[in-house]
Amino acid sequence: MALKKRPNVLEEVRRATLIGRLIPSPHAQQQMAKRDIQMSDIEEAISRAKLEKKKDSLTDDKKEWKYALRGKNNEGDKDLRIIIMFDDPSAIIVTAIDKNKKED
Amino acid sequence: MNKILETYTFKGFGFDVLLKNVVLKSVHGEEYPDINMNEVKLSTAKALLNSKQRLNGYQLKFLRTFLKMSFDEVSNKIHVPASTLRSWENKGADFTGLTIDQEKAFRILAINTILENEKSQYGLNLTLTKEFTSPKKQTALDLEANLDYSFVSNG
Repeated sequence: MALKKRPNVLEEVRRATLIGRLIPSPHAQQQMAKRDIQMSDIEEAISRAKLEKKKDSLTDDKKEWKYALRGKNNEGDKDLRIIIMFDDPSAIIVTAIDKNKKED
Repeated sequence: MNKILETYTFKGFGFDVLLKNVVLKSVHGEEYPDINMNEVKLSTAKALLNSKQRLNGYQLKFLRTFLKMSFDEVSNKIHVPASTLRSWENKGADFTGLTIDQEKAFRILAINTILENEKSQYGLNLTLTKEFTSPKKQTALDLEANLDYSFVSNG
């Protein structure tokens, strides 16, 4: 049976942000440092993000969905794709990429 | 399985922040530090404002966004053009071009904003309080519980 997706991903991520439970994984922190993305950029992008359902994927153990969000920071210079998974009440940032920048 | 780390280096702000006694949780093949980001941000802001080291671009950006202030708002308060503030934030790990007086003005602005926020929070908590408890056995105040997430370094 197909694993069901959460119906209110954006609301849940925004709620987690508000209560301080939007947390970057160690891997995400490394990628953010390499890509010059800070937590404030991610939080700003999430406030105006849309879902990118086609980029959603399953976790390695296939037991949960990882959700793709897309939004810009306040300055508008970073167009971020943010991959999130949930461990209620936390939303975990799995990785983040700036689509305005070319990857090496 | 969860792990407890005596020290953990958080890298999400652009500069390193050392946290003590962090639980690293593992879920669905992903690890994450079980921390409250609001507490980490507040402790980081206070540690930066207490530090005698000049602010770098990442730290200026962290503090401005933590205070939820735009470039224009900071510009009006400390009399530095918004475009200059923006370029200094873009210096990243390099120190900003703030003069001593400008950096003092920015730090005072930040301290006052944090204190005002805390004052509102204490006031709200007090307003919502319906009664004070009178336990038979009084326990010692545990300051350590309020002093986690300890210090900042420029790693």
